[in-house]
Amino acid sequence: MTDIVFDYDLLPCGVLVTDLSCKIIYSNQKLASYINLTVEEIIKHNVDSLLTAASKILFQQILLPTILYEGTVEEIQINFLNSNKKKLPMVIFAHRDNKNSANIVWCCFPALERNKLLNEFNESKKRLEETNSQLKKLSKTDSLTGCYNRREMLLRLKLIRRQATRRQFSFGILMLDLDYFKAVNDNHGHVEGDYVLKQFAQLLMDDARFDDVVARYGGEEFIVLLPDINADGVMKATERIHENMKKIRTKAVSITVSIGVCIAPHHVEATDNELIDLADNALYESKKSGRNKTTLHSIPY
Amino acid sequence: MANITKRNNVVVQGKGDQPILFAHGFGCDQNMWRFMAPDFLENYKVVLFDYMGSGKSDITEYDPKKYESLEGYAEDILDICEDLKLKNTIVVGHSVSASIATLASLKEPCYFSSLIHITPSPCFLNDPPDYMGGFEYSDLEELLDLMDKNYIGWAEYLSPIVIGGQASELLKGELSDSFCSTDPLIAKNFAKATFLSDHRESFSKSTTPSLIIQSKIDALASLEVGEFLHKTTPHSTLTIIDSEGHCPHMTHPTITSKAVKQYLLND
Repeated sequence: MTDIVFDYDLLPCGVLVTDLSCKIIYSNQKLASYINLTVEEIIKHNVDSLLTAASKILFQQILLPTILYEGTVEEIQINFLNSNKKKLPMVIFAHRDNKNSANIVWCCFPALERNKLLNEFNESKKRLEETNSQLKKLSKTDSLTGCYNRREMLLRLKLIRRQATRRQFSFGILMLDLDYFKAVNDNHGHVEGDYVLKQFAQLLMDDARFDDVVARYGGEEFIVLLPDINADGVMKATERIHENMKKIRTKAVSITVSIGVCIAPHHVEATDNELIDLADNALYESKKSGRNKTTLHSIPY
Repeated sequence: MANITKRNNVVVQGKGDQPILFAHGFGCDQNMWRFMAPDFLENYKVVLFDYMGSGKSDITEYDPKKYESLEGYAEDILDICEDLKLKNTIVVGHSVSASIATLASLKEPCYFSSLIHITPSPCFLNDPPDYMGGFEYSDLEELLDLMDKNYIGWAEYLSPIVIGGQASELLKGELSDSFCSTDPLIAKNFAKATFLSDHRESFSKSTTPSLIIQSKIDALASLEVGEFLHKTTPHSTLTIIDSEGHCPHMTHPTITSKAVKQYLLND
């Protein structure tokens, strides 16, 4: 065997040897040239001093503890700073020969391409997360009016009933239907009809308390869920709604609403659909007895 | 209350009665005390633990909202003190754990006798002209970006590597694998709580005697930060030890232990 004098600059990476405090004892030319410094400028400095502030945190809090604890760290990307204060992403492999060794050997591979790839990957991930949260929002919302859709309302009704049982409050279900709405569509077109629906939904949402639920049930039918409310509170709310109808701007002469209410005590045993049916029956009463009014159906306590 | 020992992977060792609780910093777990904690086994009741979301803590009990701020982590310390019925406890906290221990001591002073802060920083962000924590907000953004780019290394580091100091290579692999499923968002949450918070005021209200141990050179907590903290923290002592770096309890465990013991003897 002949002795081989190995030239560390033949390696396709930067090489550093440090003590356990990460003071640099040796650097190959390549490492120095990556960051536009000379070997002399690097020696005796701490690896820290070649890094961006953020990388110092990872270095001191993750890399170094890992090497001291496990003896090795592989494939960690951090940012070096070159002499022009420009960031150079590098992937680090470091190794301490054994737990008594006073030196750490660091191999540093420039990672410009890998960094681009990771940037693209993280960007896509972020976009995907944003799209997901948008879809989640869309799946709850009625696209025309912006209030909740029927499915979300049914979910919220379950939640309200659970809260009602736990905190022992009664709750109200309002079923609302615009009077002679078909005539608006027939006489003034669907654009005008949609315009009225939007204004009506907005009016309900503006009047709602923080945890009330306003939803479009279908066509010109809406449901409002009112947690923690009694007959008195409900009647005040519906009076306001009847009154606010005057604010709706339409080509039709005027537009009114009929409302059916079901008020249920917290321990009510009826199913969700049965409760909605009760509100629907009360709405039917309002329609039958002349419209533009509220009929209240209280389930006895 | 939930099983705290399991939740926070609490380990109690040592022959003494005086409790000394070691609180790890960001990015690590209780294993980081392996070089220093043995120095206290003879005369103390040594308590080690992992914060929620770190090491071998029970991830299923992690509440992202609670651990958005250091107050949430302080609750972990208080829960452990209550669970183990600790009184007059000495807390040794590394880096951000100095702030966490201080918050805990402000809430329940009776649990604690003294706080040992190793390379503490009450606020990593610069607040010119009077305070320079060393970091800008953009540095934190870069840190979060780097954490996104080092998912695997991160998850593996957090994994519990050694049980009783002699785990086989096989066991290492198993534990690492099982931990990789952990949400890295937890680590980012801890990073934000650590590097965006400002607890200068909390330290200034402290009533528990404390020792501040600083490294001569530390890229994360400068001597100026140490001096600021000493000046503004009532009943504090400052000791600058002959070490370089942010983790003297790992790089220079002997002199760090010596500084702690000396303070406790004189206390």
